[in-house]
Amino acid sequence: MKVNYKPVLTRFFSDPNSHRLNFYLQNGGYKQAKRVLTEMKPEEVIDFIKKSNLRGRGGAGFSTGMKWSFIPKNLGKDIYLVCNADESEPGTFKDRILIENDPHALIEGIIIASYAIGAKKSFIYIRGEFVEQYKILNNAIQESYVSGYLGKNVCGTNYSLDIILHRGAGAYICGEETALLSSLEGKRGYPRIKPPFPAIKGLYESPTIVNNVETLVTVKHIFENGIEWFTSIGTPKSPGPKLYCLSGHVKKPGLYELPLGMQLKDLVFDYGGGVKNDLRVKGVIPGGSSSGVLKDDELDIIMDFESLMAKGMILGTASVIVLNENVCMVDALWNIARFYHHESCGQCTPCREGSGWIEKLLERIERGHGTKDDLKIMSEIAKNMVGRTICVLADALAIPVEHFVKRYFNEFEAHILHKGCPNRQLAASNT
Amino acid sequence: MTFDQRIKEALDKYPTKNSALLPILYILQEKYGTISQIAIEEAAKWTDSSPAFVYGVFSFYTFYKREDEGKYRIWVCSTISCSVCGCKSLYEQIKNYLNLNGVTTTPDGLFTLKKAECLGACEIAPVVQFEDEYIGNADIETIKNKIELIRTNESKL
Ligand SMILES: Cc1cc2nc3c(=O)[nH]c(=O)nc-3n(C[C@H](O)[C@H](O)[C@H](O)COP(=O)(O)O)c2cc1C
Ligand code: SF4
Ligand code: FES
Repeated sequence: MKVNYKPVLTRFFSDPNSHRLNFYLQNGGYKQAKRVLTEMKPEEVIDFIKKSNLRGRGGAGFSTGMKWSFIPKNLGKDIYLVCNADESEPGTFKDRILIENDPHALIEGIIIASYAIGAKKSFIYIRGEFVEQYKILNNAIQESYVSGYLGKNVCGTNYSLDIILHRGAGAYICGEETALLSSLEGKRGYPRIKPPFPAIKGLYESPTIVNNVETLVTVKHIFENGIEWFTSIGTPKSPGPKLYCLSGHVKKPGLYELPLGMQLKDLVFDYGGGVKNDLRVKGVIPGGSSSGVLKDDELDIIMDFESLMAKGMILGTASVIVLNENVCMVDALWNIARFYHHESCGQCTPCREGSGWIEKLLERIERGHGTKDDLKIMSEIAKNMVGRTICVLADALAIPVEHFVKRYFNEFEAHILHKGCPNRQLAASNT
Repeated sequence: MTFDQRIKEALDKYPTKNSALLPILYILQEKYGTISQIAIEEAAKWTDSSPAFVYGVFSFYTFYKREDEGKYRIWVCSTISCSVCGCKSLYEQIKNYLNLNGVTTTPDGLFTLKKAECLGACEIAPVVQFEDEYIGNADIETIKNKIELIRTNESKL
């Protein structure tokens, strides 16, 4: 079933000028920043976002207002806001499209958030591969400086803010917030042990808030449309609109702005048009490659943070990847394992070694050399990766391992019994 | 602006010198074509650190150009969404077209073919990053045309 919802975040995206300052100003741009800076105290801004119950769109779903309120008061240190535009969770492309089409909404969100936490400098960490998007964003930032929306006396107030656009250089792990800060300091992108959390000790050991692109864009729209608008969308615990990414074997892949709490099957069939070539669904990954997998008879699940958590999965980035009936699930999981092994930063033994062994075991099973014990060993390794590492990249592999093996156990077993992939010519990826 | 001026500007932006290391490496990559030993030593000088430290940072990141890389990179996304949309056969076709046998760079030093991890454009899978440009719904014909265009232009240089 399609729902009755009018897009807000993406409403101008069909206009080729939507990324330009003039276009943005004609459509009410920077009015909210100006209003917030002149009429509200920072604490009031934080309270407002707390009341909206906005939850971070970067993957973990933590309350944005709550996070902002963790910044210690009167510490005498500089405070930083860092926008996470490293977008690299497989299946995810929403932040890229937001930056291409509406960079000024991001800048306005950053102004509001920086003001709320008391930051005078903020950073946007954009992944290195996004060369075109870097240029668009860089242009937008220059435009805003020239027109007085950034720099000294933002919007004519006595608040000043600089934005530094910083390019990453190809490392998935730099999306993890503490790794991102290490990288921003010009080091290897190594995650750091938490606590201390960045809000207490972040960039240059100063209080720092890291927020995702979509989160900050949403902040701007909450101010523009009000808390009532925001909380009337979605579910009570997961309110607001969400950008869903659809990819894989779906007829109409792309970005869909819809309320949180959609039924997964409506996304796949009513919006995505169902499976390409009218094949059947074998599985759907609900929220990026680390989120788990659901079988065709489980697609009535509600896409919010709680419902997926109840299944031992995560909503993650709400990036839906559709796998058709011809996909070899051993091969798919091998592909996912290869990714996390490749991207492990290597600091923690369970992650570095565990992800490597899981990749090897899956390769062996897919190639027909698997033994009966392999599945047990693999699940053991996955279990031992959870909760024992500096960051949750290890969990990001353990979750799909658990769910792929549990849901497609017969297929994994068949590979071992028949010494190879029954579908070899269909298997798509690794070898 | 000269390269030195751009580096100074980058240094001015950040609260610490070391924070400018990634941007400085990008600027030096433009200057030297790849991140060579000379580039590393120069970056170390600008940021008051050691070449060993800079090398350690540089080698962590995949997006900088290594010295053994060709002039143009062809990166075929091989992660899950692209994988189920046929990136494997596309990769093989490009590999055959470039005649790469057991190597990743063509003998003339023009092209380097590599598998990439999710490029954040899965809605247009399979995706190829051709130098800085994303090519969505990529097929061998499009890639062949790009390769030939570059070959023609390079032969005129
Ligand atoms: C391995 C790993 C990769 C991550 N990658 C990203 C990313 O690319 N973009 C992002 O916004 N958050 C990413 N996150 C989540 C961040 O650590 C952080 O929670 C988020 O940026 C906070 O923003 P939010 O509160 O607005 O969601 C990643 C986390 C992990 C563990
Ligand atoms: S869990 Fe993995 S990626 Fe995270 S810090 Fe440890 S080794 Fe690095
Ligand atoms: S999986 Fe290829 S771009 Fe995301």
